[in-house]
Amino acid sequence: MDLLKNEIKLMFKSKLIMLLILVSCVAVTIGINSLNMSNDFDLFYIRRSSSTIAFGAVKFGASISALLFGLFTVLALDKDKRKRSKEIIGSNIDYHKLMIIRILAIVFYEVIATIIGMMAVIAIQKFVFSIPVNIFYYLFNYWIIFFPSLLFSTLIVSGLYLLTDSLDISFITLGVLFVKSLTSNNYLFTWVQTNLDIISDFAGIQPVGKTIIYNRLLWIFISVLIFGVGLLFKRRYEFHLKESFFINVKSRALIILVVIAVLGSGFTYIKEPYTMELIRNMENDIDENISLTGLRPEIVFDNEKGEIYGRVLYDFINKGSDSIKFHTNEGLSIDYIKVNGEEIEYNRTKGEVEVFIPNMKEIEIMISYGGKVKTDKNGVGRGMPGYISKDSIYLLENSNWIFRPLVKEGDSINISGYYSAPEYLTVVVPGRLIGTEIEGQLKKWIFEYNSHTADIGAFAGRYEKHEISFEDMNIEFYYSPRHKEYVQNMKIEEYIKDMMKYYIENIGDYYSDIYPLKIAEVALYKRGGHSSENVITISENMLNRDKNMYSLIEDENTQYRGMDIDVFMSDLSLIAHEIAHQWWGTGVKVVEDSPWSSEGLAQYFSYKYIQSEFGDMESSLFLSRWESRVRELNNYYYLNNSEMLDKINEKYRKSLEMEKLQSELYYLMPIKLLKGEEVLGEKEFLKGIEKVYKNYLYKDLTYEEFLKEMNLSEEAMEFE
Amino acid sequence: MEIKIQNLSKKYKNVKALNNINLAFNTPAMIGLVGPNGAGKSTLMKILVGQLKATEGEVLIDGVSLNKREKYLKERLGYLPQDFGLYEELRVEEYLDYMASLKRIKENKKDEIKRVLVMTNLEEKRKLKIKTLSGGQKQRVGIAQAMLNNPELIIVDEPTVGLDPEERIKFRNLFSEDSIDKIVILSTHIIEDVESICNLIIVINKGKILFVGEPSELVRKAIDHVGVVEIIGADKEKFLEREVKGEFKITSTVITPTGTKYRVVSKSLPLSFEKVVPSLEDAYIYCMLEEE
Repeated sequence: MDLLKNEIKLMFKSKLIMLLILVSCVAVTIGINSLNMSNDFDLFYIRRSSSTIAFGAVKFGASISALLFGLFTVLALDKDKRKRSKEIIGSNIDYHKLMIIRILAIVFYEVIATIIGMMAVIAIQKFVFSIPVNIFYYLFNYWIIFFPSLLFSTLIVSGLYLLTDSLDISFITLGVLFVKSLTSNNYLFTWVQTNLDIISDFAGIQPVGKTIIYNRLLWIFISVLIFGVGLLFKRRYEFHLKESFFINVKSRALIILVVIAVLGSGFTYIKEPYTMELIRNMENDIDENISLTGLRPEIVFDNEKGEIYGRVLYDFINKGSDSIKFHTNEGLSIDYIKVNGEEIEYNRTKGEVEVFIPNMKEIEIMISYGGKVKTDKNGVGRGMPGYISKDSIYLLENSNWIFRPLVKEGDSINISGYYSAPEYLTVVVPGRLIGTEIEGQLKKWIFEYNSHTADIGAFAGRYEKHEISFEDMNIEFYYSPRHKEYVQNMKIEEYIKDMMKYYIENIGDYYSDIYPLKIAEVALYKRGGHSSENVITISENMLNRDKNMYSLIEDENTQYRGMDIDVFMSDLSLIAHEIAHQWWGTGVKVVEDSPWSSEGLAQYFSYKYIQSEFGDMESSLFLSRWESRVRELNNYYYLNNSEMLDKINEKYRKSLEMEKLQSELYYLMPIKLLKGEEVLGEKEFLKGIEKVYKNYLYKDLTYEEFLKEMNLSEEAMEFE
Repeated sequence: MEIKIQNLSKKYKNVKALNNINLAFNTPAMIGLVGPNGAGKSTLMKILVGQLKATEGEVLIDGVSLNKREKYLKERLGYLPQDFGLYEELRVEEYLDYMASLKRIKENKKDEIKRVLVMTNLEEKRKLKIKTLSGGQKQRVGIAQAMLNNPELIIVDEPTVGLDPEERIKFRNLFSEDSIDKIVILSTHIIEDVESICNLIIVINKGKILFVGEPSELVRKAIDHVGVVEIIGADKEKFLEREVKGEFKITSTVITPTGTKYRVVSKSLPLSFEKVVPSLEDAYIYCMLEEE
């Protein structure tokens, strides 16, 4: 303890540590505004709260401070070598013991930096922004994210230094790990600042909190392992690596530490319980001999445990197949599978289950399953297709939370069943709510839906439900009461009405009188919006921006001025896009054949809406963004030289192909449609679209059919 | 304290830096370790302070192997290597305070620091940052840290390098007075230092001990092997050629009005040379000659 005090005192005298603590505090303070510093429309002007302030401060602060503390650590460990004082110091004390004491002294200052940084940001939140402080977010962010980042940095660089005996190599290696952390999509690798962009105000930290803690657990093992390996190879008695190892390896405690760290990190990595590799493309695996005609989910949500359990009944028409494959979620385990009432054996492989069926026309399969839904490995915090937390449920169809059969979808699929969730939650069900029943602490939400797809999701939260009446229809709008003020001040409901009006006037009536349009706010852990069946989800950023945005609505003269209007336009455009999918996607099933898809039509109509509501100046911004993105992608060397694509790394190739596909669907296609509009004239074009919608409602629409209906040729819509 | 060095050898790849060394010292002892560069002095000292491991043999500290007694040794050791650095950003007093804590000095830490400051004549400099001190003053700070906690064993490598003559004498005396209740091992090139204060001299060359004993004994061995001769005019070149052939070693050259007067050490002193009483330096050279 005396030696530790001595080292703390020595470091204090060097003043460098004080500078480092100061820089850390400045970094976390700057980080308060990090959302507005990012080049990210989703995050600009998000309303400040304890969650956003504490997380932003910590994320930015950790990126700077982890690197600086790492540098400081390696300088402190290398100090005696540089100053030629190692022999004198080593004659008084076991030098490696002193190194460990020095590392502990650095950790002490990391604790101090964490406390001071936290106090500084709390003070700014309370006294500068006058925002009430929720201490939980501060404690979580500073002690689970910020402090461990500094600690890992110190342990990793110490281990590397002991291993390499070189300041340069150890710091450069730390730098490589640092960059990997900043750029990785896999949450397990992001040891510095997590891969989240924000802590959701809507859902809180629960949906992602466990992944943050798990990441910390993994990196405790990894950093201890690197440190332990460093200790195993630390140079002794001026020996080289090998001789030193044979001396160090005699320490039983060290061997136990390294073995625990190896097993711990390996086990933690391999047995990671929250994510899986999502299978995105299922078109190639579709069995055309079988079609789905009915789907009856009976699902119970256990939000406390974050689990689901229940059973789903599928009805199929079989024209000669002997098995049906389903895409599954790896987190869900199957209790049993029954085919036509008989329990059967099945083959379960990673992400898939194959069920053998008799040679009969009508097949009924019941799958009973339960567990924790795993999310996309590379989407934690940004593109999570599914999670269940105490206060919310967000389950998109592509999470395979309902096992998706790889079969043709029938013209009409009868969907009926229920979701049972804690009573305090409001569940947004697909189709039409038939009724609710209370069963103890649970509320059963019974629904039915007749659809041409079986893509159903489940969304729930502590929602406030608002009915937007428009002409003879009701739109159900679900959002957090915390964001009510913004919704009202920014007249979001009015804009939704305007969008509906524009689409009805220019495309045709909403596709159903029975199934109301439902719009639900969801957490920013899945960015943007989503539309499936009659349910639209929009991420909270569209309903939770800063109060300064109100001036856009309140003061007419301040319109069309800068970033805030761009952000608002972007939000409205996204809502308009998702609503447009009710016509293109739900109403008319657009058969995707890149660049043709429902996305292009939804983009086109959101553009048209913005143009009609706010004028050419605002809408042209979207067009120029699309054009520049398409041009940018056209200049990619590998995309222009497809024969070279095979020569590059598969991961990079896939990401390029994905970028290309997205660019074609979301940017190129709407440009083509605008070209078509230019050729035919706006009035004629919209009239043609109206006709297409009318003729293809509830039907499939291919690109060729569209062109034919519109009297357009592919050449006429070519974008140079 | 008792130090026994038994059959100690140290190999670096194919080079034997120390070859089967056997030595023993008891408190009190003031030992001068002398030898040319690369003789193995530093290797021996590094092994003694626990910074190097011997390839063969062992060092016993109070009867127990040093391998098992590193902590015991470090608690009783004051060490100053030849090439050392200090924490220059600290003040003298702060540095000694830091070192005192490393040596686990808890009680009377301030008094102990004051004691070594006085001993090393650094009292007035105690508030100065080490980086502002001269080379000699830094050397004194190094000696001061070695003296902290009144160690039972002091090992110093060229401690008087960089000191002015007056300071050198002072430090010689300091080590000498201090050796009443301890073992002081002084490695040096300056034979004069050894002559003045050491009661035991160890001559080492090419990893082997050539002599261990009192300085007077070493001197005695050189009697009849040291002489002076005056060379006049053209004979000088021939004389110098004889040295090259290894007939003797010139230890001093003095120009006189009639020629050049040489002091030489030889295994077999030519009869024409006038025998003189050997100095310790002569005796050291004789010891080296004998080995050749």
